Amino acid sequence: MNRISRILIANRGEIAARIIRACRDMGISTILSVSQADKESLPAQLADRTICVGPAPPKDSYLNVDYLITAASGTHCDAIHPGYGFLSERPELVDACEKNDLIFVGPSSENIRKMGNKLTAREIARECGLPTIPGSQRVERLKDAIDATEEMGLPVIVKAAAGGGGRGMAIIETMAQLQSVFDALSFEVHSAFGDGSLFLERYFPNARHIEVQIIGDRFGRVIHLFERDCTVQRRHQKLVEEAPCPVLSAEQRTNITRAAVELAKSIGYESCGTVEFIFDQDTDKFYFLEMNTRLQVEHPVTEEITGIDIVKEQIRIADDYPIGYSQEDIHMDGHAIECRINAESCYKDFAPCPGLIEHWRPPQGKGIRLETHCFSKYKVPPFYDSLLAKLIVKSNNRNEAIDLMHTALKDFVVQGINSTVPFHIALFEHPDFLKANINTTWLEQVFMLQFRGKNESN
Amino acid sequence: MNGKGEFILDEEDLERILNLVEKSDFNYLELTANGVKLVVSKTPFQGSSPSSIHSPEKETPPQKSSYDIQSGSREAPEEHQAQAKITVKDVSDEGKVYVRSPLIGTFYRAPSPGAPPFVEIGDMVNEDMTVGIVEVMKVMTSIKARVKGHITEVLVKNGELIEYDQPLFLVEP
Repeated sequence: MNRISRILIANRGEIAARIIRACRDMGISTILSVSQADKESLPAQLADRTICVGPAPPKDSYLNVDYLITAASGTHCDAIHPGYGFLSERPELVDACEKNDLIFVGPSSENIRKMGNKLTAREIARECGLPTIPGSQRVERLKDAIDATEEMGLPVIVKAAAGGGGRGMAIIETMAQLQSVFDALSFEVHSAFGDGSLFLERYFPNARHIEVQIIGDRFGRVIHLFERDCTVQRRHQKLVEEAPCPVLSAEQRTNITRAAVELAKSIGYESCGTVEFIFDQDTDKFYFLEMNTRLQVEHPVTEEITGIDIVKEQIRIADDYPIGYSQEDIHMDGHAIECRINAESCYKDFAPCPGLIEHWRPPQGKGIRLETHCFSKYKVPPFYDSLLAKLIVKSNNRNEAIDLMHTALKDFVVQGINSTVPFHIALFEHPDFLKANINTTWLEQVFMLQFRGKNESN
Repeated sequence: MNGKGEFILDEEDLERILNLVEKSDFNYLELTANGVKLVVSKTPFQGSSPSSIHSPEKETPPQKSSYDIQSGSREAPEEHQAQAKITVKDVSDEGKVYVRSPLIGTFYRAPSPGAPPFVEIGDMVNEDMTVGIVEVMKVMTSIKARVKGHITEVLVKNGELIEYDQPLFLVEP
């Protein structure tokens, strides 16, 4: 305990700023590793010191374990916080930290390895008694895929065992589709993840994406911080997240959160993490999907309804403190929603739109929280993901939160580059979304068609 | 080598081997004898990629006599070649040129502790001349001057942590 007095933050953008602020509150000094493109960024200005680890391309800077370890050791850090993305779920970084007497702010490499492979994760969940999606083992050949599909029945989803971040997936509605997609996907997955293994699962067309935030410590205690609903997705990428889920009954909530805690306990999970589920709205049943062994982008909505600072808890746990709360201390209050504001042209198929932000004027007021690294005259570099800001609102109930978000979005001025603000405004006016009458395909199959139509006729 | 036929590498041997490889057409040399492993490569530094030949420590604990030497050279990858061109930001107000670090790591002015530095103030350097070494996780990379001229200033100390692209020397062309 109290071993952590200086942390290297091995990330960039809004999450780097978020972690730096948490460290400041805790009296921990911060070293930010930056690429050459991020030397003047907002988190670079907030950190106590920056260290340039390489040129702009991530593989030569943020993704190089050796550079980051060298930066941490060379600046006398006690710990490394990986944020999300980049190296956050790479067991190699955890092992390298251990070898170099650095504390990794996250779970053990064993936890990451177990949950990093979706097939292994599914097996562990099944052994733990969690409902899992009916699915195949690893399939190598098209013939095996066809056999598995015939057994399960269409539609199915083909996934990469080593995949993540919504990549390496295809929904199959006909056998002909399976035949045309299989080999190409296998090839794509192999080049993206270095492992071409695919597996199939039954696909639920009318499902919600619900995930449970859990926190485990190094003393075997695991608690949950309730659930988030991330059903608004485009190409498996989350765009809006809210807490709590608007459709779960109290009993369903008890069951899904209990399942998440049991899974985390069974692997001795010791950090913050997220257990993801598919909730089939046709049968009201939930199924384990996967577990994310890191801090998640959408963690603020959970913080808003529970009052827990997840980043601080994560750092305390890494420093061998027990969780500061028991399950009975955790209560939900009100409703929180987050919009991911991306540098993308929502009228042009969400094409990335980096460049100079001429004018940046975010909304302010009671119940509004903004996590961002942007400011007026900031130049959004083209090398990284397109997230500009997370706009989070918190209110007494869902309807009030929606109203507050709608007003906040209308106040949000981003000039110079295209952002997804107009998309979100339209979303928060749509009756299906307002009534929570949606599923994971709704955005693409219903909303986007109307959104595109409207903007073409204008 | 010592007289008793035992395989021991000393600094002189190492320098000789390095020079030989440097001048040869070979890009890669791996030598293993009596538990001593020497890897010399001219190919670009690949960091922690699993296939990297620069990571023998992954399987075995680091040995004192195990060296990994990678020399920045003509075979440098594209971005390193791009660096090889002198750009505007490399030139100081007085027309002098900065020699910058190709990597984050620990900077060494000399090939080994106690040895004389590669260069001193006033020395004449040319493009391919080694002016220092940067160490990242026990992998040594030689730093080339990439410019011809006299060293007028040494901007970092031996053993100091240097950042990517940090100015190390000032050279008057």
